[in-house]
Amino acid sequence: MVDPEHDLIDAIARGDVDAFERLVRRYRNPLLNFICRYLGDRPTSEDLTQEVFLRIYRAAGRFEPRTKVSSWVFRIAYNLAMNELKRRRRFLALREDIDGTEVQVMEDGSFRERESIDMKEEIATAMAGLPESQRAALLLRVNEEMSYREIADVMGLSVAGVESLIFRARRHLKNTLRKH
Amino acid sequence: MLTCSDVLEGISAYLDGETEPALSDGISRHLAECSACRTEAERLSEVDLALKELPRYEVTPGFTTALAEAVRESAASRRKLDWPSRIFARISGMFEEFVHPPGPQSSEGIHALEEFDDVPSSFMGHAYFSILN
Repeated sequence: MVDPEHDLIDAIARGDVDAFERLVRRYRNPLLNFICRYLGDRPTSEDLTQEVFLRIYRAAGRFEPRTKVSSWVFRIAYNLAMNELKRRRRFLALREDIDGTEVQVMEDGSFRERESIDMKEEIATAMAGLPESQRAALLLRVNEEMSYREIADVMGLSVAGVESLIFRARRHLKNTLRKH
Repeated sequence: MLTCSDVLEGISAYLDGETEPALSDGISRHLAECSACRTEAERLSEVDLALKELPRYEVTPGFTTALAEAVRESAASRRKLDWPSRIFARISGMFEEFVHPPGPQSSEGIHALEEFDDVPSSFMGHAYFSILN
């Protein structure tokens, strides 16, 4: 089946800024929510969302038509957000070495400084405690309603791998919620 | 006949509609009869519902306009970068015409040049007409 959004990417590749604006309006909030839930940080998420769109604009000419546009868009977002987490981990490791600042390092290596924990929702906190790949897979499934095949394309995994991540994420969250 | 263990292993993918039809049928039949597995399926579904009920974030006003503006500026600066290339192409074209003057466009042109056959060889234009011929 032909993805109707391919025409939009073709137009963007030809420098059509109106087409670019249409794509931004379609994906801006889904991308912001995905990145924000994945990172747990609102201000950085908006900057990263903007960066995703700029990369789309620059790379539209190299878009591979066999790919679904939504998968391509979220793959760019996922890679950027993943790199941001890596960058933060490196920065915090360095900071802890230098001044001994206490940071809360999560199970998966992501972190939040104690004073900046502002996600009050129980489920959001539980989500933040998930390993990052489980978190990303579950967000794409539940919020974006992507198929396992699409999530596999976004994350560069096998369908079986995605199934396992989502299964473990749900089980973990279910157990966390039952304790409360 | 599926066991509870089989069902619990596939229940997450089943809820997502990602199991093979035969397995889906087996799980459906099992859930109809097993209250423990049904409860487990309901709890997993509650996780999804709780996630969907989280407040949704929205980009700040002006996000799209600012992005489109940034892209327009980027396109404009790319066009500006083309400007020196265009000047260079024009200069090199002129140089090329000077070094290799254009040949006659038609036989009519050659006949027209015959009119200048009697130009004295000491005349500066003689060399140029010789090249054209």
